Amino acid sequence: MNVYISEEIRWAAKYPFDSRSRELLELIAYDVSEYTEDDLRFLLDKAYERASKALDHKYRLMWDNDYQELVTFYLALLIIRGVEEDYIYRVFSDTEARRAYDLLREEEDKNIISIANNLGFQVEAEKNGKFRLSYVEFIKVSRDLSAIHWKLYNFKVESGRVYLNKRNLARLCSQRIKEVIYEMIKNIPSVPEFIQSYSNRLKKDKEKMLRKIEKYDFSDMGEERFPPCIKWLMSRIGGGLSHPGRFTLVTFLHRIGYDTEDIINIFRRVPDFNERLTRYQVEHILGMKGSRIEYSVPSCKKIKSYGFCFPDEDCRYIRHPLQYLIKLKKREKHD
Amino acid sequence: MIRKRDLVLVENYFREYYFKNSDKIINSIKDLESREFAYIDFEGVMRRHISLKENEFKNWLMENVPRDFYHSTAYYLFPSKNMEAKSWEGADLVFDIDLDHIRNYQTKKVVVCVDNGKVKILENNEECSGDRREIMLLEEEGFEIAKRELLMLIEILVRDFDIKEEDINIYFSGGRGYHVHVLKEEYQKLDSYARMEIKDYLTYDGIDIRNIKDVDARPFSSFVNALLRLDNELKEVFTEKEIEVMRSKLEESRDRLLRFLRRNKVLASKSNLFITKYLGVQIDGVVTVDVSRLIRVPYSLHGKTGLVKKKIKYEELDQFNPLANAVREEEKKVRLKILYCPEIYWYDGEYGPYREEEAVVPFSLAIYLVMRGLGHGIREY
Repeated sequence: MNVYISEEIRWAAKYPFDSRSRELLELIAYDVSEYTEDDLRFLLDKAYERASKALDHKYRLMWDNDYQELVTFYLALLIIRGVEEDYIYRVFSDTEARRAYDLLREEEDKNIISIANNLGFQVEAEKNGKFRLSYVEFIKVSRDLSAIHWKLYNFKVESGRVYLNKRNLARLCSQRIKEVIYEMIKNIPSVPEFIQSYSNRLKKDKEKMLRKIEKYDFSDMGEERFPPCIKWLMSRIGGGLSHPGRFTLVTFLHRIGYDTEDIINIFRRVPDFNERLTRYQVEHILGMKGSRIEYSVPSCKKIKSYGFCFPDEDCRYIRHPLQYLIKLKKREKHD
Repeated sequence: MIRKRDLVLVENYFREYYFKNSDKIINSIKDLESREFAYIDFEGVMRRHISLKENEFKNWLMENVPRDFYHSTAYYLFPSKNMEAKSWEGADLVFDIDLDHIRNYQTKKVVVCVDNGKVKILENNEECSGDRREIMLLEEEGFEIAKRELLMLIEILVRDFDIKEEDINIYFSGGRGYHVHVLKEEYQKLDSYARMEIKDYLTYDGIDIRNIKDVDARPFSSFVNALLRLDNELKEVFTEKEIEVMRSKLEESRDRLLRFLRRNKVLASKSNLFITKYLGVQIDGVVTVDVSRLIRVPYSLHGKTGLVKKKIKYEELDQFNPLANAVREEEKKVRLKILYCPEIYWYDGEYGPYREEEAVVPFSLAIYLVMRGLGHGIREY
């Protein structure tokens, strides 16, 4: 193998989600059937281990063989996809994004810039180990980093650019990387049978974890137990909702198990209800139409900014409307 | 009570103004046909969800004559449908500076008691057996205070956010402040959350100095400047000893001061209080954050002042006085019976004080008085 190829593989092993790596991945890893052969089967086992560990939020930052590191990533994606559980997709993406964060923090400037650019951030290097990024880009991404110190005013802003150190930039990148990996999983149409057996094993291994997801199953929660902001929105459907209002309500109802039809039926309370239009809007928010991004329920902080946060006693110490339901559920279990 | 005949005359004044100025209004509204329009008519009824075509705009204005006239900051696919169905496509980035939202500014007001057509100015909490009215006074001093905030806002938009001066449209609001409309593609799609970040960047809401990442971050820079300059304000929050300690740290370096404050809980929270209270730009944040807000139409008349929501060139801002410069062109004068009018500079000179007398004043000042129940019986002069 010549030096050029080995460098490319090194890169891909570190950052398999990067667009530069994807070609290589296609070239060397995409015919999965060959991994059933005895001498390559160990790679599937390694991939299983990577997937399983990732679900426990564990990952490694050192490895002997770049090729294997790359291939196990791809095979782990397939195994995860076979579990058919959105929550599992997200935990895996999250862990892999953390791994990338740790690697990026130690990366050379030109490399982190290359990764950032491929993720859609127009980043430029600045002196003193700082980086510049359009502040508009920054506020679009930083929203998902709920921690308060990501507010724009905590950074230097000048001429439309926000100044970040390497660590900050790596953190921003990892946020986007999480989404990219999640999309990679979602875009796998189906999983071959021999991979499926690994997926099933993983499912069984993680039974306890999956049971925990049931904690987040709110299908038995009636309207009377909704948080006050959602109740307020429900009561105002008839009079029309603002865009953020409609958005919050639809994502919330969807998350607690209402399907599209259920949600559309709720909007029948609108006096000049237009089924075609409502369906279009609901499907848009749920990611079935348009951008295909499935949006999540806004946090309390966002709801506050939208102007319909009317907290009651149970809203104390919670940061997200779904936590309200978890709190109530927990209490009812104890009663 | 506002008399019917006066209201008709005011309405005619508005109609004539709109007849002459409709083109100016049309040219001031970007993408007019994607906006929702709303207005309050001369009976005080609010009407919303109106969409207008450019070629019917003037006729519509002549037929409906708004007392107060608004358009959405948002662009919609179907502007005339209800909020659910409008289909939001973007919105201008807008800022509102209004004296009602400026701390430490006490609006001067006069309390009068109107009893059987007799007017008495009430001192302190005097009893009034008739109709008690509080009149907020428009005064130059207030406008100057609002202008200071406006200049600070513009400086940040230009320097920090790199918004070009030609994209920043400055207006006198027609009432008690200023509006800034940023019409730039890049900002149109920003949602409430992103706009909240921009708003917070200006107001410093929720600041915690301990989370500041960079000694050149604006809130910290402002704090450093304040520490060197604003003695009186500092003393309202800090003890002299505390100020001295902070200044000595600052002498070593900015970084030293920041690290010191990070470790000192009491001083950190006092600094946070000081920064939000004295250093943020005082805008009415809701207007910026709301992506489907209604805002007064440029070059429309304000129903309670008769003044124009007039565009101001940045270079002319310094000289701009709404009471002189935001009166419509070709203003005429009228005679009316005035119950009470304090001494005020309006349009072309000083007027008042008047008490229970007839006087000749600019029509817009007559509107200002009539709409507050302080004048009636407008006649041609």
